Amino acid sequence: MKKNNIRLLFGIAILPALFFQNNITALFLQTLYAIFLALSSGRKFKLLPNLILLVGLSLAHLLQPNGLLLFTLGSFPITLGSLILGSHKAFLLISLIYLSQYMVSSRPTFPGKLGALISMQLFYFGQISLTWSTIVPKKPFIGAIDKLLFQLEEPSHDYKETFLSKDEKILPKVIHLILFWTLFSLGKVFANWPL
Amino acid sequence: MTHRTKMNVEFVALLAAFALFLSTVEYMIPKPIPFMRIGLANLPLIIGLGVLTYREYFLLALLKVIGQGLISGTLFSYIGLFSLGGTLASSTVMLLLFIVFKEKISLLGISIAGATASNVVQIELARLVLFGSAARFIAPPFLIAGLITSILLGLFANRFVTTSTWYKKHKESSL
Repeated sequence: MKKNNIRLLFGIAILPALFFQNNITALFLQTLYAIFLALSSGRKFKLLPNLILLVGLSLAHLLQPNGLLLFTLGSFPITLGSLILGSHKAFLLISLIYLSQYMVSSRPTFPGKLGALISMQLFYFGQISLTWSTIVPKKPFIGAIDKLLFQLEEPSHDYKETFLSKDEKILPKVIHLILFWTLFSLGKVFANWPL
Repeated sequence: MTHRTKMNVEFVALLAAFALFLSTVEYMIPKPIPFMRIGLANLPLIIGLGVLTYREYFLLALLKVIGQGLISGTLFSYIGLFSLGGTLASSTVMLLLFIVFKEKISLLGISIAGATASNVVQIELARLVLFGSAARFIAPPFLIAGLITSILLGLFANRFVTTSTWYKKHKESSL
């Protein structure tokens, strides 16, 4: 097994613990843990898009009243069931985004011809990022793009296969996996607590 | 479309990398709404119509989705699903229009049709995965924003294929 793929495989093993979680409190804790994993692997956290997703999904579900009526805004009913459904979906989606970020943070390698092509694409992407900064002037823009693409087709930029292999430790990943499934089990044990 | 028998994988990988580069450029452009997208990464797909074979074209679409998912880290999330659905829909529609209408349709028309197909599929996915029937409320602003950005992208693509010497070289070698 390639070292680059260890995070990917552990992430896949964590996915069912998120998908089959019914308890919203446990799912919220799992979401926080997924954010922590993404942050620890060098990714950034932005509050606003997540808040918009949470509020947007909760509002969308309020349009279909469900469960206990909490209060009404004019003639618009605010129901507990709809709020829980919306926020449950939002927490699941947010946790999947950050778990996905963690899974691909070690640049997993894919097998076969497609895998080789993806490696080639990422190689060229690195070359473009390096070459673009050396292109002066950048106006006219199409002229600058032309220069960039011509330079990349020169033999000096021929594709060389490079592998990023970080020193991946297994033990922390096993702990992450156990914690996610522990939260999943707690969600099942306290199925009706607190919501 | 081109009719090469041997696939030029290096050229496809280069265009796919260019799509990734454009999506990082787009990431740096401030947007009024967090989820709004200009779709700059679709430029290689639009200009690729004239210089790629069918197989190369769909390979480019697939690489664009996987590459973006890997770079942004959203490959295994619902965003990856939306990206796959939108890109497959837009690339299929753009390719069909390019084959059927050939020189009778401009890249502006192709860009608008591709963006509309992508947005319709993404709204349907939003209905199924996220919002349920409330998706109808996000559809109008989403489609209008898509129309505006696709017009801008289509105009740029038209200008690119007429002025770029790099494109001209590949167009001539593909004939």
